[in-house]
Amino acid sequence: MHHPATTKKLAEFIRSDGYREKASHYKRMILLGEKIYGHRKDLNMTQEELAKKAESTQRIISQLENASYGSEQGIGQDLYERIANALEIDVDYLFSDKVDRKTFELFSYIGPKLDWQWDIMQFMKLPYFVDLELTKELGFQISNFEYVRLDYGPFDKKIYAYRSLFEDKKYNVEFSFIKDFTDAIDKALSNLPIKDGNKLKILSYETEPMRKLGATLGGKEGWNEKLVLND
Amino acid sequence: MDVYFSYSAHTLSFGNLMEKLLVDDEDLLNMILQRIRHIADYGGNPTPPIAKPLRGDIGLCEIRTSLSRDELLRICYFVDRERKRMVLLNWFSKPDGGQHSNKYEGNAGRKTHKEVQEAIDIAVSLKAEYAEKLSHYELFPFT
Repeated sequence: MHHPATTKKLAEFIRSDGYREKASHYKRMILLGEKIYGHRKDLNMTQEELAKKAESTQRIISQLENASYGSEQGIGQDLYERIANALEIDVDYLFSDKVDRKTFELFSYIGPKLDWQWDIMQFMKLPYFVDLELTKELGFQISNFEYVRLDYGPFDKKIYAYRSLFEDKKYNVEFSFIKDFTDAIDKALSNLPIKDGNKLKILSYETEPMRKLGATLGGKEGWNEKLVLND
Repeated sequence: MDVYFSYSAHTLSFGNLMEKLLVDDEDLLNMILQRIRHIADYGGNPTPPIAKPLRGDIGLCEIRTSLSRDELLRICYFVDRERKRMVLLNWFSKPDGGQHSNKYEGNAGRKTHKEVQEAIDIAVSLKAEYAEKLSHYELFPFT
């Protein structure tokens, strides 16, 4: 039933330079497609309506959303800008590999619970606690953060990209990506002092991944080391 | 999350698709593998629009890849939560139900629906037998 020769060829293919080059294109396209799809749904638009608003075609919008836009197909920056304008989002967000749709939805879900008023500590620690709970309960995390231990506890510098998106902004979002997990998110947030960033920081030091590094508040133990959520 | 697949006897197994694409179309193979990896990174949760839950059997999902203007390749999978695995089952292609397709109407439509249902039936049956045939599945060599 096993085909060792094919499996070996697959492994060789995955290690090849050609694979890596195209893989990065397709990965970028998947992230882009999810963002276009998600924001189109937020605005309750069809692909045709978005195409018309962005002066494009339904076929191109469909290809972009479905991440089937080939690396050999050229697409101009002006079209991307028209799509971003039509979706009422920042073009930099649309193209940033640091930002993904499901993390965007997570922040959009947490935002109203804080009356959209949050400091950097709440901004970083609340996804951490949610990811920790979901990893324990369901085996995966919602956000695209790769947490490391820094001064103020679990941290990922991608937070700055999200912060610039959410600072002084509110979003009305159709939750396509996290809708099945809102109960788990609520559970994760229910026992936390979500409006007190300083307490969240202190509590983050009491979590298992931080304890494993021996991290203490004000100390340098495990500095910059990756936090393993799924042990 | 680790990804498992098999080269089972029927020609629509995921392993057989890999064999075929290694020979015929490495670009499409790459596109499919990025989708699988992306979904696996998200714990197998089917994120739209590239993956969706399948009708019928709760827990079965599909990863969708456009083959052409009006044809979709669909890979059926499920998540084995106990073993923390994403398990790839079978694949099939079907006309895309978009505005350019008339393959869901009349006799052609009935034929399409029948073929889709047969493929889903295979997925349901592979999933049902999976726990008894764990040794048929192997780890996908992503790393």
